[in-house]
Amino acid sequence: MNAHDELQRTLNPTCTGTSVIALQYKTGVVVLTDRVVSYGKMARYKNVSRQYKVNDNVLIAFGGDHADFHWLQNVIERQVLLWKRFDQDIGPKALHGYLTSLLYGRRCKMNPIWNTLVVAGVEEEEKNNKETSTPFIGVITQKGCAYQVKHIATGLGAFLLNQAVEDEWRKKGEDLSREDAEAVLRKSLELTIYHDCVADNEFEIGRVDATEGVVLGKEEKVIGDWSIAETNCQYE
Amino acid sequence: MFRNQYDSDVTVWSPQGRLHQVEYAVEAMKQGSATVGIKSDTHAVIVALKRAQNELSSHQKKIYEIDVHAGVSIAGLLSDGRILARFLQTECSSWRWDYKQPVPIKKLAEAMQLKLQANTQYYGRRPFGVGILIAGYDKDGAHIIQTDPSAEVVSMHGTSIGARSQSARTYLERNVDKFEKCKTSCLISVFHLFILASPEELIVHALLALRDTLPAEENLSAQNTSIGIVGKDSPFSLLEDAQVSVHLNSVSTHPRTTAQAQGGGAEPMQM
Repeated sequence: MNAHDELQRTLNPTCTGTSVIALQYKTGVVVLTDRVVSYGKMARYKNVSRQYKVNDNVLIAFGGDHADFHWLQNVIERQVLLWKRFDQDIGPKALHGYLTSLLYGRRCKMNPIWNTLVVAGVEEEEKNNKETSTPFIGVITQKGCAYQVKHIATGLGAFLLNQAVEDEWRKKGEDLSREDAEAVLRKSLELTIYHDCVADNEFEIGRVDATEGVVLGKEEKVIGDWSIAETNCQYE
Repeated sequence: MFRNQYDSDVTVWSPQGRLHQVEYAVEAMKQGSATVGIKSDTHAVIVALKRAQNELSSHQKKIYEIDVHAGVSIAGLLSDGRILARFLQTECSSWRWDYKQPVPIKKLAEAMQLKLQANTQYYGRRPFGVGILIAGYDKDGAHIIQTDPSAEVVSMHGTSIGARSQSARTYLERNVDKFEKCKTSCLISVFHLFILASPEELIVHALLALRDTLPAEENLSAQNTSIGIVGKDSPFSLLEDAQVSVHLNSVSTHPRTTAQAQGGGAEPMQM
């Protein structure tokens, strides 16, 4: 390329994932993502996970560009190794802080990483003492806007699900069991497949538990109730 | 003095495989006023002897806080030491900036090691004329890290550097003997000596070791003694003169052992 040529940034993500839904329960965090890669609105690839196990304490789920996240996986892996040099396992809080700066730095260069990240995990206060571990969910947008929450739905899910998730969460609050939390996630996914045209009905639920560590989910499927579709005038 | 043709620069090897300039820097550390560091499983203590240039001047600061969970004490050229303390403060704050968490003490040790070593490998550079003790508490417990100008960086259970510091180390080792009744290995005994000690006992042990570095006619005072302590659920604190006096009182009840004569016998220079 000639030095006087204009430099153009990637203005749109290419192969994308949609919503991430995550919820804290009593001793950990559950995370739901579907397993489809969209190319625009086309469901281009199936059976692709959007969850990445960082170590025994941290699980990252993402929405947005798959290629950008592949690059991020490499960055994260190097961070894990850096911390290993000092006999530490990087915790969700530290990784959340690091990735926030990274994403914000990139948006300041007008070259953002096109992902919404959900850093889920358990934060160890003391080594080898699970009693003091606390669940953690941190969110980072592609512009580096970051916050910590008890429950989150990203992407189109943000418009559809946050109220539904919060209503369920508030019924039991901190004492929510894992089974209850997963039920909320399944219900939420059902809502996304009704409303979000790029959401898929094949999904997985990963979790990070204080005692079990990271447990990646198995592929699951939901059909839902489409009887209401008959009342839609565009439905054939 | 000991001039020879192989000491013109740090990068020059002697035929015996020594780097004379680096060794001279270590001598500078050995002539600085002494400092002692010991740890238990929950706390790390550093104590230091401060010198005053003359009767009218104040005592020089020897212990610096570098973060909420760590502090350093310096023996040698204090102006060099202050640069290193500032460097460690920057390391602590940049780790906090990146990860919103206190830096692991191991990371500080590695950063120090790299910085010190660079000054022994490039011509025209000068090694830092100081040794440093880092006292810190992190997820792995309490730590005492000892550094010297030759970039030897080691983790210790208890140690001392500076003028007549051999006497302090002797104190630490002698108290090991008392415990050797129940433990055989020397290293394990040092561990057991301090591991169960309360923070107050730890300070007293450190001060007794430090007192042994003084010539018979001198003694510890609130003016010439500095104490820093850090531990589980207690942030690093540099004790005030009044608090120092309290600990000195409990030390004064212990009879003084004869000051140990030290080999080399160089006059301690004012620094």
